[in-house]
Amino acid sequence: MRLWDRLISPSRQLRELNARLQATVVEQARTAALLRDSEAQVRAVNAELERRVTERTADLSAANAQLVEALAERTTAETAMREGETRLRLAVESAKMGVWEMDFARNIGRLDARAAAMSGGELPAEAWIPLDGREFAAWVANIHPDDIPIRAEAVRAIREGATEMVQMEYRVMRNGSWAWLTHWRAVVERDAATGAPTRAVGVILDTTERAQVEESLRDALSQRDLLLREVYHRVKNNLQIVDGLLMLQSRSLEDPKAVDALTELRSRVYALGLVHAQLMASRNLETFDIAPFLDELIHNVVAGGGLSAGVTVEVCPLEVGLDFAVPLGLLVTELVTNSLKHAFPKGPGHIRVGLARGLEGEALLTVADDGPGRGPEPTGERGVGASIISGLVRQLSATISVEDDGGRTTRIVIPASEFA
Amino acid sequence: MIPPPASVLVVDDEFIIADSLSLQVEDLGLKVCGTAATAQAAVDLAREHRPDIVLMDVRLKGEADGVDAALAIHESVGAKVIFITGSREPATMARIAQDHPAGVLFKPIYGQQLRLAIEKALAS
Repeated sequence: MRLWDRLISPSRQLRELNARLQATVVEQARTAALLRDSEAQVRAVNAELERRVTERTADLSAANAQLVEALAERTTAETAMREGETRLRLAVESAKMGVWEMDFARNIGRLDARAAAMSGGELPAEAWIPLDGREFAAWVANIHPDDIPIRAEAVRAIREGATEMVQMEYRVMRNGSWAWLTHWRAVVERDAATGAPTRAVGVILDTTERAQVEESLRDALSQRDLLLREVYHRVKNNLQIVDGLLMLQSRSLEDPKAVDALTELRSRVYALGLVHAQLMASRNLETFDIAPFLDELIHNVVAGGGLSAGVTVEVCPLEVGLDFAVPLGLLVTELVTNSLKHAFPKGPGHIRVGLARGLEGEALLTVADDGPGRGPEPTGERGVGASIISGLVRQLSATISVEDDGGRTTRIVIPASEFA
Repeated sequence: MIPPPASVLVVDDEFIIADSLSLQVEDLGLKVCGTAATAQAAVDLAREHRPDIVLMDVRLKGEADGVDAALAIHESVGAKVIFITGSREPATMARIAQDHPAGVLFKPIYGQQLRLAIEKALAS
């Protein structure tokens, strides 16, 4: 049996082997399937991972972009701030300004080195000091007595928050003499609840030199005014002397024509003197209003003529200088004197003087009387008065027209360029 | 009996002005009791002659001016003072006002200004 067994046994063994082989194959197939499965799983996981990584990367780069942007913005803001600060520092430095800081909440103040030196050197630099302390009170007492109220008012306005910024000018005693300080102060912070200022800054500028220049300018100007007034005064006084001489002379004359000539001369001298009187009284010593001048001149020329002629003066206000007032005053004197001399042989009449502005700014001078009329002057009779009139009309680039219609009306048109 | 004419003291440091003013005063039928060129001379003459009216220039030779003289005369003699001034400046006007003047004339004076001022002063 054994042998048989042995004989047939190879086939049994084969079968067994075959079976085993088959089992192995099946097993291998299963393993292969498993492998395939896990491979797919791995791929899926891998894909998911890659997707997530991509997503995350996108997130990160977006965040990064934002960050870069924010950084850039911050850099710009910082640059701007630095630029602003630099500008301020340049302003403060170049203007040689001192800086004050005030902390009202803690009632202390601080000066930089320049502010401390500028304000008299009594206050410490770069140190916070109490505003109600002895040091500060001593400094305030060092301010010029006239300027203490000015400064106090400005300080109060800021302290109480009545204004955002003040400017004050005051003098302090510095190295034995008064120094001018110009001081700006502004509120920088207010209490959120009460609105009361809690902090303020100030810049302070030494304006002593400017004040000295201004003072010497003012001195020079008032010196000039004084001299001009003195000159006008002397011209006027000398003309009064000339008038006295003419009067003294005329008393020694017997010829009535000669006396009349001197009387006319006196009225012309009076017109010149009156111009200087107006100049002396004028604010700028250069120009004055022609209206009161003409009014006074005409009334006195008429009164000086000895005839009781009525007179009406209607003159518009016009600011003029010496160069215009002298010829105009002399013209009016001549025209009014002419009327007094020639218009009223049969008793007193009326003289009307007007000055108005035309459409183009020109001055329209009218001198009219209501005498019986007198026709053209006979040839050869054209006297000094007539040549003075025509000469002054030419000097003023003016035009003249005379109308005899009962009385005589003389119109003179003077272009605005002569007095504007 | 006709009352004697009013007397006038003329004060001006310019001889020609003082002289021509005196003649104009005389032409008005008044009597000129003297002319003075300084404040002191004016006060002395006023005490001596006791004029009714003083024509007083403001600017005079010497330290004291016409206002000083007028105040002294006003106090001791009581004459009426008509100021004749070359200046209309406020400072001068303020000084003149101290004396409560009977009149103020501004140089240049001309025409009837002097006569009217004297008549007004005499009437007051």
